[in-house]
Amino acid sequence: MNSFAAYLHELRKSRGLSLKQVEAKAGVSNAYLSQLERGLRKPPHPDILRRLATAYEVPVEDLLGAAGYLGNGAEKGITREAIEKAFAHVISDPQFRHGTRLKGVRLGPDAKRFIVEVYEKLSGRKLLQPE
Amino acid sequence: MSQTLQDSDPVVTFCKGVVSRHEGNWPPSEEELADEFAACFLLDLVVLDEALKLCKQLNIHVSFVPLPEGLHGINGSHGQKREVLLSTKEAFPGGKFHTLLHELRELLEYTFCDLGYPIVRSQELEIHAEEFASVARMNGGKKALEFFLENASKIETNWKRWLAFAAAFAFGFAFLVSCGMHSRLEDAMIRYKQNTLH
Repeated sequence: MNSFAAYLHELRKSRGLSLKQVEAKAGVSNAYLSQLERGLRKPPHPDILRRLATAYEVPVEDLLGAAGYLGNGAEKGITREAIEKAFAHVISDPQFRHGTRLKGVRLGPDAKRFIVEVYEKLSGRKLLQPE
Repeated sequence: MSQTLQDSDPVVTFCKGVVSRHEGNWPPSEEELADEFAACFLLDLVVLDEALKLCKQLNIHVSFVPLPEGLHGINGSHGQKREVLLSTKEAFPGGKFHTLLHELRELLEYTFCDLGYPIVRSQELEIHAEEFASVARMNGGKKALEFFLENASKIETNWKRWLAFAAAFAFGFAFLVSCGMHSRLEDAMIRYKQNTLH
Protein backbone atom coordinates (compact mmCIF):
# COMPACT_ATOMS: atom_id res chain seq x y z
CA MET A 1 0.00 0.00 0.00
CA ASN A 2 1.46 3.42 -0.95
CA SER A 3 1.29 6.44 1.34
CA PHE A 4 -1.60 8.04 -0.59
CA ALA A 5 -3.61 4.83 -0.35
CA ALA A 6 -2.91 4.57 3.39
CA TYR A 7 -3.79 8.23 3.84
CA LEU A 8 -7.12 7.84 2.04
CA HIS A 9 -7.96 4.72 4.04
CA GLU A 10 -7.14 6.34 7.39
CA LEU A 11 -9.04 9.48 6.44
CA ARG A 12 -12.22 7.52 5.76
CA LYS A 13 -11.79 5.47 8.93
CA SER A 14 -11.24 8.60 11.01
CA ARG A 15 -14.53 10.00 9.71
CA GLY A 16 -16.33 6.73 10.51
CA LEU A 17 -17.64 6.41 6.95
CA SER A 18 -18.18 3.28 4.90
CA LEU A 19 -17.18 3.13 1.23
CA LYS A 20 -20.85 3.31 0.26
CA GLN A 21 -21.43 6.38 2.42
CA VAL A 22 -18.50 8.11 0.71
CA GLU A 23 -19.92 7.08 -2.66
CA ALA A 24 -23.22 8.73 -1.73
CA LYS A 25 -21.52 11.88 -0.47
CA ALA A 26 -18.87 12.34 -3.15
CA GLY A 27 -20.35 10.57 -6.15
CA VAL A 28 -17.25 8.39 -6.51
CA SER A 29 -17.89 4.66 -6.94
CA ASN A 30 -17.15 2.55 -3.89
CA ALA A 31 -15.29 -0.03 -6.00
CA TYR A 32 -12.96 2.67 -7.31
CA LEU A 33 -12.47 4.06 -3.79
CA SER A 34 -11.62 0.60 -2.53
CA GLN A 35 -8.99 0.21 -5.26
CA LEU A 36 -7.55 3.62 -4.42
CA GLU A 37 -7.31 2.69 -0.73
CA ARG A 38 -5.53 -0.55 -1.58
CA GLY A 39 -3.05 1.25 -3.84
CA LEU A 40 -4.31 -0.56 -6.94
CA ARG A 41 -5.05 2.68 -8.81
CA LYS A 42 -3.00 5.82 -9.32
CA PRO A 43 -4.11 8.92 -7.36
CA PRO A 44 -7.16 10.37 -9.12
CA HIS A 45 -7.74 13.60 -10.97
CA PRO A 46 -7.92 16.76 -8.81
CA ASP A 47 -11.67 17.06 -9.52
CA ILE A 48 -12.28 13.76 -7.78
CA LEU A 49 -10.01 14.81 -4.92
CA ARG A 50 -12.07 17.97 -4.52
CA ARG A 51 -15.25 15.90 -4.19
CA LEU A 52 -13.58 13.62 -1.67
CA ALA A 53 -12.26 16.61 0.29
CA THR A 54 -15.83 17.90 0.61
CA ALA A 55 -17.08 14.47 1.71
CA TYR A 56 -14.32 14.10 4.29
CA GLU A 57 -14.50 17.77 5.36
CA VAL A 58 -10.78 18.40 4.89
CA PRO A 59 -9.02 21.16 2.95
CA VAL A 60 -8.58 20.08 -0.66
CA GLU A 61 -4.89 20.95 -0.35
CA ASP A 62 -4.47 18.03 2.07
CA LEU A 63 -5.68 15.56 -0.53
CA LEU A 64 -3.86 17.26 -3.40
CA GLY A 65 -0.65 17.23 -1.36
CA ALA A 66 -1.04 13.57 -0.39
CA ALA A 67 -1.72 12.67 -4.02
CA GLY A 68 1.48 14.40 -5.10
CA TYR A 69 -0.13 17.35 -6.89
CA LEU A 70 1.45 19.77 -4.45
CA GLY A 71 4.94 19.37 -3.16
CA ASN A 72 6.47 21.14 -0.22
CA GLY A 73 5.86 24.75 0.71
CA ALA A 74 8.25 26.06 -1.92
CA GLU A 75 6.28 24.42 -4.70
CA LYS A 76 3.11 25.94 -3.30
CA GLY A 77 4.70 29.35 -3.71
CA ILE A 78 5.37 29.68 0.01
CA THR A 79 8.95 30.56 0.78
CA ARG A 80 11.01 29.27 3.68
CA GLU A 81 11.23 32.84 5.03
CA ALA A 82 7.44 33.12 4.99
CA ILE A 83 7.16 29.86 6.93
CA GLU A 84 9.73 31.01 9.52
CA LYS A 85 7.96 34.36 9.90
CA ALA A 86 4.57 32.70 10.29
CA PHE A 87 6.01 30.18 12.77
CA ALA A 88 7.52 32.99 14.85
CA HIS A 89 4.06 34.57 14.99
CA VAL A 90 2.46 31.26 15.95
CA ILE A 91 4.79 30.57 18.88
CA SER A 92 4.36 34.11 20.16
CA ASP A 93 0.58 33.70 20.49
CA PRO A 94 0.00 32.82 24.17
CA GLN A 95 -3.38 31.27 23.35
CA PHE A 96 -1.79 28.68 21.11
CA ARG A 97 -0.03 25.64 22.53
CA HIS A 98 1.45 22.93 20.43
CA GLY A 99 3.60 19.85 20.68
CA THR A 100 5.18 17.32 18.40
CA ARG A 101 6.37 13.76 18.53
CA LEU A 102 9.71 14.01 16.78
CA LYS A 103 12.24 11.21 16.46
CA GLY A 104 15.81 11.61 15.22
CA VAL A 105 15.25 14.90 13.41
CA ARG A 106 14.95 18.59 14.22
CA LEU A 107 11.92 20.73 13.57
CA GLY A 108 12.41 21.71 9.91
CA PRO A 109 10.50 24.13 7.68
CA ASP A 110 8.12 21.42 6.47
CA ALA A 111 7.19 20.51 10.04
CA LYS A 112 6.83 24.18 10.96
CA ARG A 113 4.50 24.64 8.00
CA PHE A 114 2.23 21.91 9.37
CA ILE A 115 2.21 23.60 12.79
CA VAL A 116 1.36 26.93 11.17
CA GLU A 117 -1.46 25.25 9.28
CA VAL A 118 -2.84 23.80 12.52
CA TYR A 119 -2.69 27.29 14.01
CA GLU A 120 -4.45 28.76 10.97
CA LYS A 121 -7.25 26.23 11.28
CA LEU A 122 -7.74 26.65 15.03
CA SER A 123 -7.41 30.43 15.17
CA GLY A 124 -9.13 31.17 11.85
CA ARG A 125 -6.25 33.45 10.84
CA LYS A 126 -4.47 33.00 7.51
CA LEU A 127 -0.71 33.46 7.77
CA LEU A 128 0.70 31.60 4.80
CA GLN A 129 -0.19 33.03 1.42
CA PRO A 130 1.41 31.88 -1.85
CA GLU A 131 3.50 34.65 -3.39
CA MET B 1 -3.94 32.35 30.80
CA SER B 2 -6.98 34.57 30.76
CA GLN B 3 -9.27 32.31 28.74
CA THR B 4 -12.38 30.95 30.42
CA LEU B 5 -12.41 27.22 30.94
CA GLN B 6 -15.83 25.88 30.09
CA ASP B 7 -17.29 23.04 32.14
CA SER B 8 -19.10 21.81 29.03
CA ASP B 9 -15.71 20.93 27.56
CA PRO B 10 -15.20 17.20 28.36
CA VAL B 11 -11.41 17.64 28.53
CA VAL B 12 -11.79 20.39 31.15
CA THR B 13 -14.29 18.25 33.10
CA PHE B 14 -11.89 15.31 33.09
CA CYS B 15 -8.94 17.43 34.23
CA LYS B 16 -10.98 19.07 36.99
CA GLY B 17 -11.97 15.60 38.19
CA VAL B 18 -8.34 14.48 38.31
CA VAL B 19 -7.38 17.64 40.21
CA SER B 20 -10.14 17.13 42.78
CA ARG B 21 -9.18 13.47 43.38
CA HIS B 22 -5.43 14.06 43.59
CA GLU B 23 -5.25 17.60 45.02
CA GLY B 24 -3.79 16.40 48.33
CA ASN B 25 -1.11 14.38 46.60
CA TRP B 26 -0.31 16.37 43.47
CA PRO B 27 0.89 15.49 40.86
CA PRO B 28 -0.50 12.08 39.92
CA SER B 29 1.83 9.61 38.23
CA GLU B 30 1.43 8.87 34.53
CA GLU B 31 0.08 5.45 35.49
CA GLU B 32 -2.58 7.03 37.70
CA LEU B 33 -3.45 9.49 34.97
CA ALA B 34 -3.74 6.72 32.37
CA ASP B 35 -6.00 4.77 34.74
CA GLU B 36 -8.17 7.86 35.31
CA PHE B 37 -8.36 8.44 31.58
CA ALA B 38 -9.41 4.88 30.76
CA ALA B 39 -11.94 4.81 33.62
CA CYS B 40 -13.45 8.20 32.80
CA PHE B 41 -13.97 7.51 29.13
CA LEU B 42 -14.70 3.76 29.54
CA LEU B 43 -11.97 3.15 27.08
CA ASP B 44 -10.26 -0.16 26.38
CA LEU B 45 -7.14 1.31 24.88
CA VAL B 46 -6.18 -1.45 22.51
CA VAL B 47 -7.15 -0.27 19.07
CA LEU B 48 -6.79 3.01 17.24
CA ASP B 49 -10.43 3.11 16.18
CA GLU B 50 -11.59 3.32 19.80
CA ALA B 51 -9.25 6.22 20.46
CA LEU B 52 -10.43 7.99 17.30
CA LYS B 53 -14.05 7.67 18.41
CA LEU B 54 -13.07 9.10 21.78
CA CYS B 55 -11.36 12.06 20.13
CA LYS B 56 -14.57 12.75 18.24
CA GLN B 57 -16.47 12.78 21.56
CA LEU B 58 -13.87 15.15 23.00
CA ASN B 59 -14.13 17.48 19.99
CA ILE B 60 -10.50 16.82 19.14
CA HIS B 61 -10.13 16.78 15.38
CA VAL B 62 -7.69 14.10 14.18
CA SER B 63 -6.25 14.03 10.66
CA PHE B 64 -3.84 11.64 8.99
CA VAL B 65 -1.34 13.51 6.85
CA PRO B 66 1.96 12.70 5.17
CA LEU B 67 4.16 14.48 7.75
CA PRO B 68 7.91 14.85 7.12
CA GLU B 69 10.19 11.92 7.99
CA GLY B 70 10.77 11.61 11.73
CA LEU B 71 7.71 13.66 12.67
CA HIS B 72 5.09 11.25 13.98
CA GLY B 73 2.48 13.68 15.20
CA ILE B 74 1.55 17.26 15.98
CA ASN B 75 -0.96 18.62 18.46
CA GLY B 76 -2.31 22.13 18.72
CA SER B 77 -4.69 23.87 21.06
CA HIS B 78 -6.20 27.34 20.71
CA GLY B 79 -8.79 28.25 23.31
CA GLN B 80 -11.16 25.29 23.46
CA LYS B 81 -10.26 24.07 19.96
CA ARG B 82 -7.88 21.15 19.65
CA GLU B 83 -6.31 19.40 16.69
CA VAL B 84 -4.04 16.40 16.19
CA LEU B 85 -2.17 15.46 13.03
CA LEU B 86 -0.85 11.92 12.73
CA SER B 87 1.66 10.72 10.19
CA THR B 88 0.56 8.23 7.58
CA LYS B 89 4.11 6.82 7.49
CA GLU B 90 4.38 4.89 10.78
CA ALA B 91 6.83 2.00 10.54
CA PHE B 92 5.84 0.13 13.73
CA PRO B 93 2.56 -1.62 14.45
CA GLY B 94 0.58 0.46 16.90
CA GLY B 95 2.66 3.53 16.04
CA LYS B 96 -0.30 5.74 15.13
CA PHE B 97 -2.13 4.71 18.28
CA HIS B 98 0.94 5.39 20.43
CA THR B 99 1.42 8.81 18.86
CA LEU B 100 -2.25 9.70 19.28
CA LEU B 101 -2.05 8.88 23.01
CA HIS B 102 1.16 10.92 23.25
CA GLU B 103 -0.55 13.92 21.66
CA LEU B 104 -3.63 13.51 23.87
CA ARG B 105 -1.40 13.56 26.97
CA GLU B 106 0.16 16.83 25.82
CA LEU B 107 -3.28 18.33 25.18
CA LEU B 108 -4.35 17.29 28.69
CA GLU B 109 -1.29 19.01 30.13
CA TYR B 110 -2.28 22.35 28.55
CA THR B 111 -5.62 22.13 30.35
CA PHE B 112 -3.97 21.16 33.66
CA CYS B 113 -1.76 24.25 33.24
CA ASP B 114 -4.82 26.44 32.59
CA LEU B 115 -6.41 25.09 35.76
CA GLY B 116 -3.27 26.01 37.67
CA TYR B 117 -2.23 22.40 38.23
CA PRO B 118 0.60 21.55 35.85
CA ILE B 119 1.83 17.99 36.21
CA VAL B 120 5.23 18.44 34.59
CA ARG B 121 7.57 21.20 33.48
CA SER B 122 7.31 21.85 29.74
CA GLN B 123 10.82 20.44 29.10
CA GLU B 124 9.74 17.11 30.61
CA LEU B 125 6.41 16.85 28.83
CA GLU B 126 7.76 14.74 25.96
CA ILE B 127 9.08 12.07 28.31
CA HIS B 128 5.87 12.02 30.33
CA ALA B 129 3.72 11.85 27.20
CA GLU B 130 5.73 8.83 26.03
CA GLU B 131 5.26 7.17 29.40
CA PHE B 132 1.53 7.91 29.39
CA ALA B 133 1.13 6.42 25.90
CA SER B 134 3.04 3.26 26.85
CA VAL B 135 1.21 2.78 30.15
CA ALA B 136 -2.21 3.43 28.61
CA ARG B 137 -1.57 0.88 25.85
CA MET B 138 -0.21 -1.68 28.31
CA ASN B 139 -3.23 -1.27 30.58
CA GLY B 140 -5.52 -1.76 27.58
CA GLY B 141 -3.53 -4.85 26.58
CA LYS B 142 -3.75 -6.29 30.10
CA LYS B 143 -7.54 -5.92 30.07
CA ALA B 144 -7.78 -7.60 26.67
CA LEU B 145 -5.52 -10.41 27.89
CA GLU B 146 -7.63 -10.95 31.03
CA PHE B 147 -10.74 -11.14 28.87
CA PHE B 148 -9.08 -13.64 26.53
CA LEU B 149 -7.78 -15.80 29.40
CA GLU B 150 -11.20 -15.84 31.04
CA ASN B 151 -12.76 -17.08 27.82
CA ALA B 152 -9.93 -19.57 27.24
CA SER B 153 -10.52 -21.09 30.70
CA LYS B 154 -14.06 -21.99 29.61
CA ILE B 155 -12.84 -24.23 26.79
CA GLU B 156 -13.67 -27.79 27.78
CA THR B 157 -11.15 -29.75 25.69
CA ASN B 158 -7.86 -29.85 27.60
CA TRP B 159 -5.41 -29.49 24.75
CA LYS B 160 -7.45 -26.70 23.11
CA ARG B 161 -7.62 -24.83 26.42
CA TRP B 162 -3.85 -25.04 26.93
CA LEU B 163 -3.23 -24.04 23.34
CA ALA B 164 -5.44 -20.98 23.86
CA PHE B 165 -3.53 -20.13 27.08
CA ALA B 166 -0.19 -20.48 25.32
CA ALA B 167 -1.35 -18.31 22.42
CA ALA B 168 -2.70 -15.69 24.83
CA PHE B 169 0.54 -15.55 26.82
CA ALA B 170 2.70 -15.38 23.70
CA PHE B 171 0.55 -12.65 22.15
CA GLY B 172 0.21 -10.79 25.46
CA PHE B 173 3.95 -10.88 26.14
CA ALA B 174 4.78 -9.62 22.63
CA PHE B 175 2.15 -6.90 22.92
CA LEU B 176 3.29 -5.67 26.33
CA VAL B 177 6.95 -5.64 25.25
CA SER B 178 6.09 -3.72 22.08
CA CYS B 179 4.08 -1.14 24.11
CA GLY B 180 6.74 -0.69 26.77
CA MET B 181 9.62 -0.64 24.33
CA HIS B 182 7.92 1.31 21.52
CA SER B 183 10.04 4.41 21.87
CA ARG B 184 13.29 2.43 22.25
CA LEU B 185 12.48 0.31 19.22
CA GLU B 186 11.94 3.47 17.19
CA ASP B 187 15.26 4.90 18.42
CA ALA B 188 17.02 1.65 17.51
CA MET B 189 15.47 1.78 14.05
CA ILE B 190 16.70 5.38 13.57
CA ARG B 191 20.24 4.42 14.67
CA TYR B 192 20.17 1.44 12.30
CA LYS B 193 19.06 3.65 9.41
CA GLN B 194 21.73 6.26 10.22
CA ASN B 195 24.44 3.59 10.42
CA THR B 196 23.30 2.08 7.14
CA LEU B 197 23.36 5.47 5.42
CA HIS B 198 26.84 6.40 6.64
